[in-house]
Order: sequence, then structure tokens, then C-alpha cells
Amino acid sequence: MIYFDNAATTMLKPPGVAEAVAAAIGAFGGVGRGVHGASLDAGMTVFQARRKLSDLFGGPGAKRVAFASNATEALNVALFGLMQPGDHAVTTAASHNSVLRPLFRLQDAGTADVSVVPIGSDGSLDYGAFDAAFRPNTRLAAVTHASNLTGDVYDIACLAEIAHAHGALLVVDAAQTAGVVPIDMAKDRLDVVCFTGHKSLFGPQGTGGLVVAEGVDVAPLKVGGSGTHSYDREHPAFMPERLEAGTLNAHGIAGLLAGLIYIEGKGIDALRAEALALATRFADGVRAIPGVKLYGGGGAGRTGIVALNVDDADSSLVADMLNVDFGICTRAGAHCAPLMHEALGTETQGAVRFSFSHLNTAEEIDAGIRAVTEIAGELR
Amino acid sequence: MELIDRMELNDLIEQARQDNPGKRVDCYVLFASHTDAMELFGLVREAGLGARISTTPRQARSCCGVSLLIGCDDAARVELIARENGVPTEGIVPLPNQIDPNRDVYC
Repeated sequence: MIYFDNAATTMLKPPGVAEAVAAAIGAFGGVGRGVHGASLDAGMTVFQARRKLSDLFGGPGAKRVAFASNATEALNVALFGLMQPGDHAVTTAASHNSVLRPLFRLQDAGTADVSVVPIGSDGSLDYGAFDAAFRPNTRLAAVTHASNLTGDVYDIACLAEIAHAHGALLVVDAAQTAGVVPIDMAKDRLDVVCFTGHKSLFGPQGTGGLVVAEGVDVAPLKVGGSGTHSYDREHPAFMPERLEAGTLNAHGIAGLLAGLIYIEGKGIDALRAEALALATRFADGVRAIPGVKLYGGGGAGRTGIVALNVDDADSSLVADMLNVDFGICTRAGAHCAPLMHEALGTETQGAVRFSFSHLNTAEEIDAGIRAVTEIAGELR
Repeated sequence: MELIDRMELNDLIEQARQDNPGKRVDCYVLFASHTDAMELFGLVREAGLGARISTTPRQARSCCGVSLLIGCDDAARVELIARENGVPTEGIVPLPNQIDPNRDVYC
């Protein structure tokens, strides 16, 4: 099997991640639920993970890192916790449904209004149009740092500056960039960064969370067990417990911590350079194949994603041929990014997404190029 | 809650010792957040001081939180470490040793 679906989940994990999870399952008690060694080991691991995540994102410290089960849950926490009745939100057509659906739910309930800034057919964002979308009652802009479909990266420092000029907050969906594109909350004045653990942070599924800047108050989405202040009627008001209820996934977070330590050791710039080199090798190899069309490129940078179609063939057919005939894992269809497909003109066809990790090899890339060449020849 | 005033803490420790002749008095650093307890625990251990995470005695506070159990002779240093590193606490409480060595541990 050749795995090119890293934008969904990185299947290939660095050494130490699986071992950390396995060790934790046999050793951890509940975080904050006891003072015995099993609980303390879990608690200290979770604390170390919070600290490393804050460091990775240039965040305000471990206490401002709240865990969730993935980026979607973190975005739900942020958006439902920040939006108030009568508020307006801005997003872009590059957004994943993890941003769009919470906002549309608020809109459909009549409690908030939403403006969606269009994306160009090359994946580009018009920053002037983004600026023009704000209103006096705009509470926040929720933007993807990089499209999960094309890999186009957007300038979040610029978007934060625009949002703040209108008195609004910037919530960043970093699902596709955490671990491969540098993020500096302090420098770029980002208010909330939502991340997932199972993609480029190399953790297990079921890990993710949000980093919240000082002074930004997110109301909790869930309340309940917190391990402290048990006699209070209300959930603790202090971070990070404010945004966490119930026992944390410390087993998964142990794996995430191993992934973070790996990233710290390798360096985020080196990891990104390796992934981009592989993506470029692949894009260069398939670009000239008759019938192959590549998407995106209009962003301020790229992640290791190459999205393509072969003539007008159903993307699902192409992905199925890659899987069955060549043992290559990709993702076809709409990728939970409906408005991005509208922008690219691929609503009906979908697109085949190849997403690379630095743990892929040049030999695998070349096998992918040969496979696309053969499929394109067969479908023409 | 601010940390207990240094002189007040010394007085409290001394009072606890006088009230409990023959018993060791320990100090419990109280927290609102488990995360703060973990952070200070790491910092105190890094500084070479003895400490361990403990259940918070009911006498100290009626909640299910954790606290940091330290020797009262280290209380001033721990207080300083917390301040220097911006770790919020809810005070330091001296209490007579809570562990009865003769008890049935399964009670």
C-alpha cells in the first residue's frame, strides 16, 4: 500500500507515537481524578502536551490550551462559545464544513448572520473582499489556514489585522497546517487556533483542541465533570478546565505528545520542506499528462496537497482505480469543502486529492505518477 | 485568592505546630486548577525540592481538587517559585500530618 491520504489522517507515524499510546493504556489513570501515580503520570503527560502545543503555536501558555477530540469539535467550542445572538461572522469559501456548518446552524436558528467571502477559481482569496465583508456587529472571522482541498495557504497575519481593524476576533482552523506551517499566535495576533492531532501533528485520532489568546473568553460548549470544585453548581470558570468536561483522552494525548516531541526535534521548516518537495515532484510529474488538470496555486503558499482530475472522469472512479489497481490511497469526492468545489467548478466531478507527508518516499511519488499516467491513458 | 502573607504563613505554621505537639506539620499548596498544580509540581521538583501531588485535605478546602504537599520549611521557596513563574495558587495551608501510620490502608 502507498498512502497518499495524509490530509485526512497521517497513517505513517514517527517512531514513538504508537509506543507512547500503548504504554499509556497500560499505565494511565484519569487526569485530575486522583493523586496516585497512575493519575499523576496521565496528568503530567497532558500538561507537557499543553506546554508543547502552546510553544508550537506561539501561544500564551499551557493553561490556554484546551483539548477536544479533533479540530471539528474545537471549532464548535470556539464558534458556539464566542458567537452571541445578533452577532455576525465572516468566513471564506475555502472553509471546511467544520467551520461552515456551525456558522450556518447559528444562521438558520436566526441567532447570527454569516458572510462567506468567495474564493477564486485558482484557490486565491481576495483580501479586499474579506475586508469589505465586515459589519459593525461582526464578532469574528473564522478562516481556514490552508484549504483541505487544494493545499493553498492563506495569510492569517493579514486576516487577523483586517479582523482586528474591525474590532472582530480571528478564529483559525489550523487542521491542515498545524505541524507543517509555522503558526505564531503572539506575532500574528491570532485569537483562537483550532488544531487536530491526527494529521501533521502525528498523534492518534481523537486528539485535538484549541489555543485561546489571553483576554479572549470562550464560553464552554460542554459542562460536567471537571475533577475540581465538585460542590459548585457551575463548571469551573478558569482555563483550560473551562472548555473541557469529562475525562480527557490521555492515552491519545500521550501519542500526540510523542508526535510533538518528534516535530520539535526535526523542526517544522524541515518537515514542511520535505513534504513540499515530494508534492512538487508529484505535481511536476503529472502536470503534463494529457487530460490531467491540477487545482489551486493561488494561495500565499502550499501544503503537501495536490488535487487533480482526469478529463471529466468521476473523481471517485479515478480514486478507486488508484486503490484497486495500484494500491494507492487517495481521497475523492467533495472533501467536506462544498464552497471550495463551487469555486473550482468541481461540484459534480469532485477531485482526487493526493496529500503527502515527509514520511512518504520519492519512490512512492514516482509510483503515483506512473499510476496517474496509466489511468489517464485508459480513461481517454 | 492571593498567597497568604509571608508573616501570616509563618504564624500559621507555628500555630499548627503548637496545636499539634509531637506531630509533623505539612504544608499544602492549594490550586483552583489541576493544570496549575502540575506546572508547579514540575517546577518545584526541578528546583530540587521535595514535593508530591496530594489529595486536598477536607480541613483545607471542601472540594475534590489536588494540592501540592511540601515541607513547611520549603514553603517560602515554593511560594517564590510560584510567583516567579506566574503560577496562580489559592494559598498555602499548614496542617498536622494527615497520614496515620497505624491505620488500615483499606479502610
